[in-house]
Amino acid sequence: MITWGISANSHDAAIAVFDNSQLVFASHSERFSGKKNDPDLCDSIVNYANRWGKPNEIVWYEKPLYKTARQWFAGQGFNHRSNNVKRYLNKWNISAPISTVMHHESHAAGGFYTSGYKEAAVVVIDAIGEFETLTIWQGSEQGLKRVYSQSYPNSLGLWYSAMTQRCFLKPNEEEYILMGMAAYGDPNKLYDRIRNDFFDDNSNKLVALKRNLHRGCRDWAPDLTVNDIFDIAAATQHVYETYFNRIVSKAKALTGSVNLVVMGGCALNCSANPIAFKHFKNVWIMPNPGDAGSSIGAVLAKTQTQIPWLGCDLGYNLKIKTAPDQIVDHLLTDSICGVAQGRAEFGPRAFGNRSLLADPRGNDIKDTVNAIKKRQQFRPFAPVILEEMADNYFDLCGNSSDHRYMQYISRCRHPDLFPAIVHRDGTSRVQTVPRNGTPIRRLLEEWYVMTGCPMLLNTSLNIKGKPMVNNRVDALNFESHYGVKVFT
Amino acid sequence: MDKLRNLWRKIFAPYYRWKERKRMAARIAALTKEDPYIYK
Repeated sequence: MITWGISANSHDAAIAVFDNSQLVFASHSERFSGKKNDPDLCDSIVNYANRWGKPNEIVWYEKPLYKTARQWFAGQGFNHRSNNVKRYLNKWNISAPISTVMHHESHAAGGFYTSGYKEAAVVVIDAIGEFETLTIWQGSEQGLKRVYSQSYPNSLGLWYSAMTQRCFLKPNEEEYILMGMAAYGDPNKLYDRIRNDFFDDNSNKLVALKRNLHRGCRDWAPDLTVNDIFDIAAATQHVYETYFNRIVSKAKALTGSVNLVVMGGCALNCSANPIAFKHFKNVWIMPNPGDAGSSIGAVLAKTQTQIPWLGCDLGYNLKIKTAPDQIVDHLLTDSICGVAQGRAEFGPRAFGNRSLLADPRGNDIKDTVNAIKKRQQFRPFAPVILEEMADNYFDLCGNSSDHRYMQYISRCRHPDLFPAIVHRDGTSRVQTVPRNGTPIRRLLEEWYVMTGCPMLLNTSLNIKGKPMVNNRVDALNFESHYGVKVFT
Repeated sequence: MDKLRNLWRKIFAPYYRWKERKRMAARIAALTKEDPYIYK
């Protein structure tokens, strides 16, 4: 039986395909359509998903009727027709019985049923679900039970997006840039002002806002100019961490568990995520915790069964494997190259199958890669390192195996040796690679043998403004656009 | 005929007000070309 989980018609469409209880495919629509953060499905992803057979059942990641009610309540109009799932899916001739699950339930199930934990506290934080913005669940063998919930407009995610827009960035998309900017500002300068202006700490809610931020807060603090945005970013991140700490400790108090699962778009905040280890022994964050990951979560919420998480390699399959010594030879001479091989990663991060790799040593490489990718100069890159060597180079929270998907920042012990992968605050977003025989593992082993350096700089392989490379044509386009060799 | 039209519009005044608001909102949205809501 083929079941499709679909998350679409909002801001980052995705399809997950289950063959009985086995997850066989998951991808963002953007990889196939070429439109970054494509909110809609496209013909090519639907055709690709059909390779596993026509779906017998569709599970939609949220309840359209509740969403319509919330949009109407928020003054966004009566969108009953555009939210009609059957009508929406008919555009791509997808016809199968449709069931729907609640938005936060999709998130919670996606995290809990891929965690491998028999019981856990599950925290879901995002901008808005149907109405819910923050939920805490207790996961057990009996299923998921909601133990705390709060609703629109009190939303930590929505506030973070509003602050992103206040810093002249694109809300609902460029929050990660705000997080990166935070290291350059003073976190205490505007901390009290932001807390006093936006948050009501006298409320019995975990997060209570003084105003509805659905339309942003561009009018907030007109005295602060473009010169102050790094301080705004730093204070925003600091305030976020304060509330994240409060939410996680509440989850501990409500569930008493030693295991925590964090989901929702806010779970991508890798600067704040290490706080979770202060309260919980084990932490799991599904590598794609946002709405696109809910395509998996929707099906799991329906089936309520644990599945083994075998990695993010769930997307388009490029049946190519380049010999690692070829790539290492190129890196030794040119310091930088692209790699596109195997299945594309499902999620916002590249873990070695669609990566731009570089030698992390030396002072020039960060500027070189930033120039190629046309990114802001202040943004750092992530290291990918042999898992057993990671402790020698970074102060990791939790175990080194917790860091396989770049969900946490860690302090680098040798920032002077690897300036390209160290941020202004001395931290790195580490990806560890276990002994699993994958191409990126074999490449790192070969690189270590040749150089004595166990890590590489790893960033996603994409042209600016475009989604990550998906197929061979995209890879060749990247190569011709930037003049950087891509092994594919 | 005009009297009948006026009577019709008087009876259904709330509907016409709603329609006018909707038309104006669509016009403003088209002019600004930017959704004021940061989340759909």
